[in-house]
Amino acid sequence: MIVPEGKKEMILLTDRAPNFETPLKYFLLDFTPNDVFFVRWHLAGLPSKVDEETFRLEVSGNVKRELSLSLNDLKTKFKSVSVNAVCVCAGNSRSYFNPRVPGAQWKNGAMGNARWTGVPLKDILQEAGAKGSSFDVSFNGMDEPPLPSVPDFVKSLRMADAMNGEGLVAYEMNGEPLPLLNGYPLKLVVPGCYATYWVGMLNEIKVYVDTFKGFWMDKAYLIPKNTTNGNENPDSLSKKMTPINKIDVRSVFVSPENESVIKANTPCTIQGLALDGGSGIEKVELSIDSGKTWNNCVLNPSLGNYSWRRWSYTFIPETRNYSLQVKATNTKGDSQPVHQWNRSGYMHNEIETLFLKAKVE
Amino acid sequence: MKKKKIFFGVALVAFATSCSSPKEEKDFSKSKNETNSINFQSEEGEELFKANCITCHTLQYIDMQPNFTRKTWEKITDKMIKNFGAPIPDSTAKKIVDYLMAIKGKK
Repeated sequence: MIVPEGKKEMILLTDRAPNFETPLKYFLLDFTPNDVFFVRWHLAGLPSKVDEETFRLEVSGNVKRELSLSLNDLKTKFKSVSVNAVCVCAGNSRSYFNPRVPGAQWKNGAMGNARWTGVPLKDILQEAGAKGSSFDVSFNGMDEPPLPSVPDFVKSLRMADAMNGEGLVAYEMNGEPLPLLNGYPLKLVVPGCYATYWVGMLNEIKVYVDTFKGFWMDKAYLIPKNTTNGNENPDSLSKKMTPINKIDVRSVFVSPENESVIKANTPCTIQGLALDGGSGIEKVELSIDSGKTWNNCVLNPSLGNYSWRRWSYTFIPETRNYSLQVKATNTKGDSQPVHQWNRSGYMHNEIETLFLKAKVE
Repeated sequence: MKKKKIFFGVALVAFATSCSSPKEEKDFSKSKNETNSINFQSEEGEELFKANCITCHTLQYIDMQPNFTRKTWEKITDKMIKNFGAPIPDSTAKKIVDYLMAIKGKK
């Protein structure tokens, strides 16, 4: 555990570059508090503070008017909108892949749900007069490679996706300015997409006539093309790869935590959450007999299709060991695989198992 | 040692272009660096790790990995050099792989 600057106690992965995971207990809340929201940076060259007065978001490239926007400009000259959206690291739960894969060994805490407030990305691109001939838009933050040979972290979206009205240049998270470690002062919010696109400390947007070329789009964050859940076989890796995109459907156990002891003959409530890439959760089912039969969980009210949705299931345990399983299905009918694997450990959404021991006190 | 100095010199130039005042050794945590938790089996390996790897990431990145085969550690080291731009000569890379095998090797 660690107490990062401006945060409460979190699970330490690395402090250079800063990578911290949210303890599971906070997932009993609808919104993940800012001071425990997971932190993921690739590049160690991170500013230790950002001057609100001199900070500018630059918009350039294939536009009619280049923009240099202050925080005040964004807050006063544009429409402000809010969206509830879950932010999930592509590699969340990587440590649960079998066989194991190299990378940041996250458990389930490299995700969080927040209410994001800011300016629609579309409005900023329109203000700049981004031309109709544009194909890609790139996003760069203030984090810097510690060596010139290390590729800068720049991500891109197709112009059509950038203009779809969903993306946000957020200056608030749960009603407060973003913590520095979560990308203060601006974070690109791409509801429904994995967090690799949610560029923090965003200070540069560029519009391109052609395809954007960059290491973090062409070589990193790739998944096997045309497969479900980014699945591939360890013995014959996919040849065709494509940039990771939408969040796949998933449910997670939150409470009680794995290998807990529970009281037999007393109602026990299992709690968890479910999420997907924006279609919305249709149902969550739980099995207490290793997947033979599935029982519907109670869904909490929806907080919007991009938000996660909490669920619960109450049963009276007998005196024995339990291995519970949970699976979610979205409104498109997509559900979760029994087994899943890919070389990079992305998009983990295998059906989870929770081990419990029920005892008479 | 000379190479190490050049590393940080270059790094500082890169930082100077940033629009705030970042510090090269900014520590975002209140905890001690956890590299002490590892039982170093190779002093040379540790020195090479410090000289070649921690500019971008601490030994925690290795510490959290499961044990991998030599082939996997070679692939990872190669990726650090070719994809992530770590300026490490082949002869040093081999010694770093030996070190990674010593602390997180799967036989």
